[in-house]
Amino acid sequence: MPNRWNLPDLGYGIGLRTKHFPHILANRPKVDWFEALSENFMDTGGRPLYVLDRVAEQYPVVLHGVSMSVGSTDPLDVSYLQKLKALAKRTQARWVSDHLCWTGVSGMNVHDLLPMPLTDESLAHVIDRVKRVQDLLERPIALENASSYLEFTQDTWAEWDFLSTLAEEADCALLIDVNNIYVSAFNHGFDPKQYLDGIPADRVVQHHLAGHTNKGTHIIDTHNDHVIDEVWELYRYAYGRFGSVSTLLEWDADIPDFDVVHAEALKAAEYRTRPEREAGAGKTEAVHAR
Amino acid sequence: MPDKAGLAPTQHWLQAHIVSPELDDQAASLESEQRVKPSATLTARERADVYRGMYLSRMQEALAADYPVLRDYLGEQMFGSLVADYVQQHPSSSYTLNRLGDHLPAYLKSRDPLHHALATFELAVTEAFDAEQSPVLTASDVMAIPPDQYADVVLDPIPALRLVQVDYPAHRFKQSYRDDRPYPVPEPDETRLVVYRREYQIFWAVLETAAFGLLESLTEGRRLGPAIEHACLHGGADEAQLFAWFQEWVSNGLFQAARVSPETD
Repeated sequence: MPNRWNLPDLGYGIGLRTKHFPHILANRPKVDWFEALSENFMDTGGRPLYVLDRVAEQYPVVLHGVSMSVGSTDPLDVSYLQKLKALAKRTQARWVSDHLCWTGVSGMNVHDLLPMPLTDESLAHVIDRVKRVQDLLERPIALENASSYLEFTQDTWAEWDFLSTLAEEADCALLIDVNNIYVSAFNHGFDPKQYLDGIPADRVVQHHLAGHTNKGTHIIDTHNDHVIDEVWELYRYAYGRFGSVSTLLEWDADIPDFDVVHAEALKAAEYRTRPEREAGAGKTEAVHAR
Repeated sequence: MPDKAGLAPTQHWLQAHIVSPELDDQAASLESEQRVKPSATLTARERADVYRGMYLSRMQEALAADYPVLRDYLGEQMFGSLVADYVQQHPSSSYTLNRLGDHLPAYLKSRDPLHHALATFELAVTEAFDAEQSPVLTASDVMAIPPDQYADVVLDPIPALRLVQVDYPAHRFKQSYRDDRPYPVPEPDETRLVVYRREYQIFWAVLETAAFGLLESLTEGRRLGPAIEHACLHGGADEAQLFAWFQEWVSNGLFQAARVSPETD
């Protein structure tokens, strides 16, 4: 199903990481597209920006941020948004994304994707902020579902309903991170398929996939390993729901060689066409913690 | 009375729970239970502590990336303690972690002169790494200036240039780190360095006192004539030395432009 902005399916991309700069510059690998972490390139005029410019000359680029803090009760950082806008123009970014989260208050940034209380007050707050961000950037943004490790007692919304209503009311796009749904489903005990079923397909412009760390009692979204089979199965289910959507493999810690990361991203193609596993094998219900 | 369950109070509570160096155990557990749902496997407090537990390790990781020599020299435990103390006074207020360590040299100045020297040098390297790219003044650009105007020339340094003056030879520690060799014995040795970027690579060089003074004058916008006069008078440098230094600096691409500016000074 095409999204309402007709943003293209860019194929299978990977995150642009410093470790891979020499390989990318020297070999110009056949990758469909790259996602660059906005904040890593906004305040540098050195080699990172030089590499990003070369990458943007040859590949489609999407900008992905971690510090917009769209859910914070602090004022929006207009200077940050202006730099983001300039970087998007410089790289001809196909779109710009960040997370449904907040990263700090009282002028502080704890540099974590902190969960929103899922309340009417939060929803109204974020809708207003997303509209203002989009007005300033003069483009729709894609908001990603972040992994979370707690739920608030005051929550009155299911996250997928909150996110969907936010997207409809603020008229923004969605970046659906399949691994994050798996992680949060494990941590909070919901059915990840129910999450995907609750998302409006015409607003989904991108998927994320990544590895994580299972601590037994909870899962941490560490991006330090291969994608596990259960998440791949969930991705296949997402493909059934949303169709062909640009898919990005994130690998941010213990990063292996470029070819390993790229090969992991290309696995996504198999799951778009592979038939569903036989019943009982890798059932997504197995992620429930309770 | 403010709504304790509102968005802003909730965010302030969680942030305080994450960044506070010490928590009153009983109060933290009680408030966590009021604000956070338990899961099947974790209590409310344990769930809030997941975020708390990751905060300092993230700060350590960010600062270790900018201060690898200091991190290696101190070792994990001492560096961890330093970071924990430092971020209490200088928590991140930027959208990027790249700015987190900007205050570390000043923070260390009164605490430990060697650590201060290492941090000062490493911050200079980081700043040179991230500075804006610029054109570079060439020898032919210099030759194009009429000789009778040399005294009035003002040289604009490249943005990726930093001058460092510290009480220990921080560059030797950096080299040991790079070469995976034992660190030198930490003996005070007043050290002057120029750190710069060329072709997206970082270089540094030790400068004599007079050379450092001259380069400092030039980067501050002083005209060539008065800067040289000052270096000869106070630094004891002769003309041949000055010419050699200047030639080397131009050849290393330390300046981006030269302009005749008779009305400055």
